[in-house]
Parts: sequence; C-alpha cells; structure tokens
Amino acid sequence: MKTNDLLKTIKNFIDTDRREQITKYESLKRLMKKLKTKQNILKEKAKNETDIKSKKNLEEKMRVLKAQRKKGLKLLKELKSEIEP
Amino acid sequence: MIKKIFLPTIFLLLTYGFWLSPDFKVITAGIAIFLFGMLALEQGFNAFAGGALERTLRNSTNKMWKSLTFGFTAATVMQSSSLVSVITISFLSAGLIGLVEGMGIIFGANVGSTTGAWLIAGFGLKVKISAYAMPMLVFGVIFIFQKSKFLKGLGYILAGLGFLFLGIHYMKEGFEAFQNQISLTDYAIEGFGGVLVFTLIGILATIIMQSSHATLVLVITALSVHQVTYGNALALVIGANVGTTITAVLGSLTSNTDGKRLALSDVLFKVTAGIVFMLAMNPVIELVDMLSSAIGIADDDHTLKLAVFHTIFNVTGVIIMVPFTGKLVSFLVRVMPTQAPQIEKARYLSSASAEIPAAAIEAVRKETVRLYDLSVDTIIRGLSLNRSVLAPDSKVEDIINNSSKIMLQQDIDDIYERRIKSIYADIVVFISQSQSSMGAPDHLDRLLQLREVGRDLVETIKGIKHLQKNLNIYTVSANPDIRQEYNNMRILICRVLQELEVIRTGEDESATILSLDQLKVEINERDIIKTGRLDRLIREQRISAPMAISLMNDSAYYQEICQNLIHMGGMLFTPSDQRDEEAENSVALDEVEIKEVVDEYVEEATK
Repeated sequence: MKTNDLLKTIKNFIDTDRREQITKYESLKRLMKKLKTKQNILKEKAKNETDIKSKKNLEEKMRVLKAQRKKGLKLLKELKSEIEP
Repeated sequence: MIKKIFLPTIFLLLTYGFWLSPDFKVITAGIAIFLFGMLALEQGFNAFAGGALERTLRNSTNKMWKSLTFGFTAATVMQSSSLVSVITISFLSAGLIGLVEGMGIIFGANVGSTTGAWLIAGFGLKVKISAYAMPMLVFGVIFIFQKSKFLKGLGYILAGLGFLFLGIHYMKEGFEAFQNQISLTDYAIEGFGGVLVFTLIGILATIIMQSSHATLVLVITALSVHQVTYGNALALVIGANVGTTITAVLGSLTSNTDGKRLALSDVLFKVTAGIVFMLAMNPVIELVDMLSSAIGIADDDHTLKLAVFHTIFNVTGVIIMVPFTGKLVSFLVRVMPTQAPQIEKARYLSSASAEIPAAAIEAVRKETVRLYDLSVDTIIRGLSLNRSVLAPDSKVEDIINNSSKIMLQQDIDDIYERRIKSIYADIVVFISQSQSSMGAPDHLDRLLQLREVGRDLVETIKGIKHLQKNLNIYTVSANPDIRQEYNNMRILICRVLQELEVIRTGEDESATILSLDQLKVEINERDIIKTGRLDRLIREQRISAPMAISLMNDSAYYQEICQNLIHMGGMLFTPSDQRDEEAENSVALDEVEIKEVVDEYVEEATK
C-alpha cells in the first residue's frame, strides 16, 4: 500500500463523520445501481408491451424512476464532493 | 365447513318439505310468524325499559310467591304456558326481569296452564287464542305508526302477541291432519315399558304440534272413547308436559344467554318432574284417586282425573324446584356462561421483552404487522373483495371492473372495537412502558414510528367505514360513470395494498418503498377534481348533483386511505439494513417532486 493510501485509510478510520459519509455514499451507490437495473428492465418491458394501457403504466413507472434516480445522482455527487478532500 | 353447508341444507330441506306437503308449509310459516312475533315483542318491551313496565314487573315479581302468582295468572288468562314462557324470555332478554324472577313466572305458568286441562276435560272448551290475533295485529300496527314512544312500544307488544297467536294458530292448523291420523289404540302397553314409550310419544306429539293443549285434547278424546288405557294416558300427559318446553327453547333461540338459561330451567323443571312421576307412577295414581274422590270426581271419570294428574304433576314440579332456585341459577350460570365478545389481544407483547430494546422493537414490529394484516382483511371486505385480489399476479383492474357482487357487509365499527382498537391499545401501552428502557435515540424513534403505523391503520379503517356506504350503492349502480368512478377508487386502494404485499414479502428485489412513489403520482394524476373529470361529468349530465357531492366527499376519503397506507408502508416495510433504509428515504420523492412529475405528465398529455 502506498503511503498516501495508507494515510487515507487511517484518516477515514479516525474520522467518524467521514466514515459515516462513506457508508452513506456506498449504500446510495448500491441503490442507484439497483434502480438503473430496474429502469433497464422496465424499458425492455415497455418496448415489448403491445397493450396500450400496460405500456402507459410502465412508462409512468419509468418517469417516477427517472425522477428518483435524478435525485439520487445529485445526492451521490454531493456526498462524493464531501468525502473527497 | 359445517357452518357453510348448514344454511343451504336447511333451505333445501324446507323447500323439499314445501313441495312434499302443503301442511308442512303452513306449519313452518306458523313457526316463522311465531319467531317474528318474538322479535316484535322484544322490541316493544325495550321501549318500556326503565319506565312503568319495569316498575310494575319488579313489584309483581320481587318475591318468589309473587312471580309464581304472576305466571299462574298470566298462563290462566292466556291459556298457554308456552306463550308465557316465551314472553318471560323476552322480558328477560330485554333486561326487565332477572333470571330468578323469570323462573318463578315460568314455574307459576306451568301450574296455570293446567287450568286448560280442567277446561278441556270439564267443559270441552278452550279459549281460542287465534281469535285474539287479528285485532291485536290491526291495533298493534296502527300503534306502531304513531310518533309517541309509548304507543309505538305498545304497538310492537300488541303486534308481537298477535304474531305469536297467529303463529301458534297456523302451527295447529297445519297439524290438524296429523292429529286425525295418529291412532293410539294399537300401541297400548302395560307396565313401566308402557310409561316410557307413551311418555316419548307424548313428547314427540307435543314437539310436533307445538302445544301441550293439542296433545291433551288428543289424549282426553282417546281416553273418553277408551282408545288408550288410563295408565298410558297419564304417561302421555307427562310427555306433553316435557314436550311443551320446545316452545320456550325455540323462543330462546333469538334471545341472549339469560333467555337461554331460563328456557333450560323450564326444561329441567319438566324433565325432573317427568322422571319422578315416571318412576313413581303407581303411588301417584293412588294419590290422584284419593284427591279425586276427595273433591267429588267419579271413579270412572278418567278425563277429569287426568286434569288432576296434570295439576299434581306441575305443582310437584314447583315443590321440587322452588327450594333449589338459588342452586339452579348457579348451575345454569356455570353450564351456560355469558359469551363475552371476542376481543383480539396482542400476541407478541410480553412484559419481559419490554426491558430489552431490540426485543421490544421486534415484538412491536411483529404486533404491528399483525395489526396490518387484520386491517387489510377489514379493508378488503369493506371493498366487497376477497384477499386473493392482492396476489402479485392478479389483475386488480379487470377483477374489480367485472365484478358487481356486493358482499354481506361487516360491521366495521364492531371489528374496529374488537380487533383493531384492542390490539392498537396494547401496542400503545407497551410502547409507553418500554420507552424508558430504550437507550439509543434510534431505538426510541423506531418505536414511535411503529406507533404512527398503528395510527395510520386506524385512520384507514375509519376512512373505509365512511367510504363503504356509498361504495355499496354506487358499485352496483345502473349509471356506468358513477360505477366506474367508485370502481377506480377500489382499484387504486387495492393497487396500493398489492404493492405493499410485494414489498412486504421481499420476493421482488426491485420492489422497495420507492415503488410507492409511483402510486403517489397515480393518486394525484387520477384526482377527479384536479383533472376536471368531475366538472365534465356534471356538465355533460352524466351524473346527478347528489352523486357529484358523494364523489367529492368519497374521493377525499379514498385519497386519505391511500396516503395513510403508503405512509404506513414506508415505515413498516423498511429494509432490514438501516443504511439501505436511509438511502431509500433520501431518494424517495417529496410532495413537490411528486407534483413536478404529475405536471410533466399533464403537460405531455395535453400536447
């Protein structure tokens, strides 16, 4: 391990607030990944759906998902800037 | 299972009976009218509860001898101990008299009814109670239409009595054919066997004919033409006395536990006296002979001797039973305990777990999930649906739009009191008790959050109660627009519940509390007022003004129901990992963001 990395790890360990932020960041990142997968599945489903009503329903779900992801990505960016010195 | 097939079986048997015999139709109609009379009587007595009738009854039944006299006089005037028993049961059910007083009246009535045997045997006459029925019904119904509470109550009593008389009249008419067909001459049996067999015949005949007087007429006639031996005739009288209790038993079917206890005391009275007389038949015959000659009845006048026997039977019954009234009451209370309403209690909340934070939280969570389950059952039934509609693959929209069935409605207030409120009360108390042992603020927050879940569920149930009334009317309405609007409410509530079920089971990983945001958007998008749909329906005269008002009110209820459920779900079905929960909460859309999504949708739709 390089000295810089080692220092970073020790710093992270000592700084509880920072450690907290990192855990938050990781959880959010995991969630964003999950939402992205869900979005792709919905996109695929909507593409193949022939029933207009069901298609509209899927599109609506995607719209909400998009708004949630937009919010999540913004938060992720903020957290990243807080964690990185 | 038995409960499910019981009613259809009864209906089938009755229909078969109606088809088989017109007499049977008359008899069953008589029983139905009789029971209806019982209900009317109870209603009538209820109108007087706390008033003059209560005082009169109390004064005339406050001592055992007074109760006995009251029963004796009533049965003599009415010529039917069964009728007095039935009326007494309705007094008791209405809370006008106590069990001991009721017993006194019934025992007295049993003696009073023996005057009928004297009339039949002595004069061959009998007061026809059916003759009272018609005027009583006419006056009764006129009184029922009056505004005064007193007259109304009097009307119900008169009509109730009229129906009772009419019912008995029809029963008797229906059995006239039977009465002519039963011949006893071929079955004369001597000795104890004869006593036993003829007692049973007497019981059976009285149960079928619903009147000991009818059996007595039959026995006296048979005895006068020597178709039955004197000994067998006495056994028949015992049977008639035991069998006549069926009327009281029938009458008690619609009454409360005290009414049933009284009916049982009547059965015990007659059965005890019956057994004593069956076992001591010979000494009793000697006693009858002795008493008969003392009052100047000829040795061969068996019909009047029968009346003497009948009287001795009932007087002996009173002598045997009265000293044991207190013991009999405690026995009846023990055998027939008062059915307490079934109140659901908490299952997981023990005082031991209140001390340990993690255990306390888990116990409250489990109990709240149980409360949720009970609430979902109530909501689904309130929407006239089955829980199967919430299966993940079920097409809620199709099921609801294609069903026009309204289920037998439950009393939501009663369910709320017995099942929801009681458990929620336990949860609230438990949370208050365990608050002090919560060390970390996170733990306390979680407990308070679960308490909020309970409150949301309670609010939801109340909303369903409000919604139910119009839902039942409009989901079967001939107007397709109003029907659709109410079905839309049902659909969205079910969709919320369906989504909550998916999140709860955790089978679909992509279904998280974030999925509820989509439903929040949908509720907003479908708002009947915001979308202008309500105005359009009124403008195009597709719904009436009262319908529009109902829709406006109920739309608010249904939105509140959905919002409460979503709010509750967001707290109850959170991920087990606290970090994941926080992440999901931080991404969940707030009201402003939801509005933005809706506006975007509206904008696109209007393009």
